Amino acid sequence: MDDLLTMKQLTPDKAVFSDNGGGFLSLKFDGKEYERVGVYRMFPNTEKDRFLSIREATEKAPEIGIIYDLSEFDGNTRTLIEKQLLMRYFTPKIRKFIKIREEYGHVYFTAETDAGAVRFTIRAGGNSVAHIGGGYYRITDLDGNRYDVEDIYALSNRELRQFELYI
Amino acid sequence: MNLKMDPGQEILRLLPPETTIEYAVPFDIHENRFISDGWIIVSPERLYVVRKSGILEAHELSSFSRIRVNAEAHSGILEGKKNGTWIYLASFSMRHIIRVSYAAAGAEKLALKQPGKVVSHERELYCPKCGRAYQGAEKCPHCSSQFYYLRQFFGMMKGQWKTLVIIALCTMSVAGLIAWWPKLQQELVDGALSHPETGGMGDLIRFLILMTVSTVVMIALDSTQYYLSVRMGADIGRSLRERMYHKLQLLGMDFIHRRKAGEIMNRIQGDTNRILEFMSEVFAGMFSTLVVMLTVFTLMIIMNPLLTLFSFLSIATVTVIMGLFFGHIHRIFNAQYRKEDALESRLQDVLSGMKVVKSYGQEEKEAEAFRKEADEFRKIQTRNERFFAILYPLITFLMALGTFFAIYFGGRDVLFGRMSPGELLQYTTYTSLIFGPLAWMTGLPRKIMELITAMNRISDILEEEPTMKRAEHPVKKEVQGEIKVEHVTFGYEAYEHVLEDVSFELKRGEMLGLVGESGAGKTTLINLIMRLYDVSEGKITVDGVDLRDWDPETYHSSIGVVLQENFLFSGTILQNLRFAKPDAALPEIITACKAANAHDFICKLPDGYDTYVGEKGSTLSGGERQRISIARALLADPRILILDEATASLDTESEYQIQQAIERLIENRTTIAIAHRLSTLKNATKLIVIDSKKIAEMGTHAELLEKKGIYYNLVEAQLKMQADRPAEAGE
Repeated sequence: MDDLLTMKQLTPDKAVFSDNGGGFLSLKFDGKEYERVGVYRMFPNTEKDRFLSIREATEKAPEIGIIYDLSEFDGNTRTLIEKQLLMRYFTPKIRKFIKIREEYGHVYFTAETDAGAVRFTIRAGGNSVAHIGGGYYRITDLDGNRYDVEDIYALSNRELRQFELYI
Repeated sequence: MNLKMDPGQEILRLLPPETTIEYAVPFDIHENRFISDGWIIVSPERLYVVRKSGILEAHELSSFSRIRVNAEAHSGILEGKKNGTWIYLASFSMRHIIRVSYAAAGAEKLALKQPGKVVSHERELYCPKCGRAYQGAEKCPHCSSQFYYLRQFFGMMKGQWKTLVIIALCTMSVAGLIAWWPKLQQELVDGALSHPETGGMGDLIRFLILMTVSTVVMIALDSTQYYLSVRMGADIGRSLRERMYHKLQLLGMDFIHRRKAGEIMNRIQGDTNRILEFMSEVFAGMFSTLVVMLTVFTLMIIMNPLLTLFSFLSIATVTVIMGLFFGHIHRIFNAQYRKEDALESRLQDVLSGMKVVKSYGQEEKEAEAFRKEADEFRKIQTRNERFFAILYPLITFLMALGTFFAIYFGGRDVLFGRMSPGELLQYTTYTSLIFGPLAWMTGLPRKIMELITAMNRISDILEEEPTMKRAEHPVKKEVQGEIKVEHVTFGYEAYEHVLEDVSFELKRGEMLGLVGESGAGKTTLINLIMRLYDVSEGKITVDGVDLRDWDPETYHSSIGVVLQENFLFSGTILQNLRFAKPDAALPEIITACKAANAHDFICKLPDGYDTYVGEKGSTLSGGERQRISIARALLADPRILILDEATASLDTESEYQIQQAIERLIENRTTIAIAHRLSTLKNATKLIVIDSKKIAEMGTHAELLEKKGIYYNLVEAQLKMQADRPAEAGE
């Protein structure tokens, strides 16, 4: 029971991360070697690089330990871990809405994001746009992809007028 | 779903010649950027990850021991295991995750030299022609036809053609009378009033009588067509509500879970009411207005074509303005309906969870959140009404300009003797007859948009295809209760299995206990046996017949269910009991309640069996609700019993009562129980421990204890907890 309650901190002196040879992350910690581990953000919206849960890549994925702050690690390790985070949390940021068109109960978006141009669809009557805080909104499309609008007030008047109908 | 798409020649040319393609599916993320030319291609021997720029990955399938899709937070990864090491292959968005999952399963079969090809029965989510979404429906609303929803609306009136004919006749008669009045006035003014020497009181009285009679006739005809329109609207509304309610019963659980309850309720009630409003306020008026306008316009052209054309300049202006705003009107009303949905859902949420709200003292916070939501709705509503408060007067003024034109130019004609005063009066009356309805027509786009939006939302439910198909010739024999689960694999999402390769057999009258940690898949297995969902792989047979071939009503009527959350409908205890067997005689009901140890507490209630239990049976305790559920299951006399034991412990007396009731219930019935009580577990013919999606252990209570595995640990933990409880009570 005490094990369950303990927060094991992974620090640079105790935890050694490396590429497993297949593009995933390996870890040596506490005398054990883990061929592959997963990196999970505990607070994906508010603490992107802090409180990262490192877990075994098995069915139950038990926690191995927690990185309190990614900046504690050296550049190479940070790059490896960030690569895993990008694989897990792919949420493009919308820079510009090119077109928003509503038809037959769905809304079709064409947008420029930080990951390139994209087209996606949301249900017109549903709960597809969530308010994260301030001007930050998150769109979840029909397939389950997510797109973030970091600041709706940075959009042009035309874009804001069209987009706010779905907020 | 197509698992062998066409990557195009540019991609195929990159592969070795003579490559046979088994699976070809797209992927769309590379180095954290969207791409449009990524393909995962599987041949009988190799797996390729290709872009137009070249082959990114090429592997011998035989080198893999596993190939799978890993669902990340909002994307997917294709990965394979080689010599104990996981290899990253490709990333893709959620758009392709289902398709790639199936292809990965197919590739793994080839890698492990397993027989069989993987085929997907999932529907495409997007129209291959135009790319529009048609989630749940089989036809694309765009490609099938234009004015789709309006055609659907008129289609609903097909059975009411006689009523439509009467409405049309009344409408045209009213229009005729309206068009005749100005002519009557013209004759009076130019005749008797201008030449009293030839006419006089007689003509005036005749005119008044004619006006009175025609007014009475018009009122009668108008009332008739209004009544018929409203009745037709009510009939259509009722039919839609019934169809939607019936459809909801047929649709799979995944449809209900994908939507908020408030949204579904709003569609059944609110959107059908909008149809009724359209029929009563708009439909008949719309035709009447159109007929009047056409008749009057024709008469005006005959009287003075040039004057009429001038007057109609303002109509042209109004039409252009309305056209420009049409799309905007549609959008703002959709936004209003969405907010209304959200408000209703929040209210429902809070009312359903009122106990939780109060027990955590969150009333103020919830009230504040509701105030905010209501305020946002008010803002949108106010904004929309403000928009129309500006638009309507503007439109009305522009149309009034037409009348001013008529008076000026018509007046000039009278002064120059080209028109009589009576004719001018007739003409200006016609002008007001045209422009009055026109002003009404400016509201029509809004009303039509509301109708289209409502039809759209209703169609969403009516056109949703049930995910579970009925067999062509469903089996309708008596269920005996022999169950066989063969190599069943299932996931609520195609790319995330909850159960893998589960197999077991249960003979008639035997009891199977399901054991495992929370979230292991026990409830999922029960949902599959109840055929609330269909298996992804493998099959479940009952009495040798595949579950999918059974007649759903026959099969479901042979199942009795006692779940953790014992839902009682709003109604009396007697009505809730009769839900299992509507024609049950009272002695039968009483016997069932006695067996369920429910009879005594029911008798002690002031209204006995007539006690109203309200939504979710809130006036009864958990143990009492459970015993009524057991009585309900006994009344149904099912062949197969599904029992999901409550995890919460009750007081000793209630526990004992329920334990006894369950023992009576499971006697001679094929029972599948998610068991927590040791007594239930000990009585089971067979126990299954589900762990990591699979059956980890199977056997009797004694056999599993001997193994000292997962089951042993669970029992030990439970015994320890029970032993600790008296010690805690003593403290």
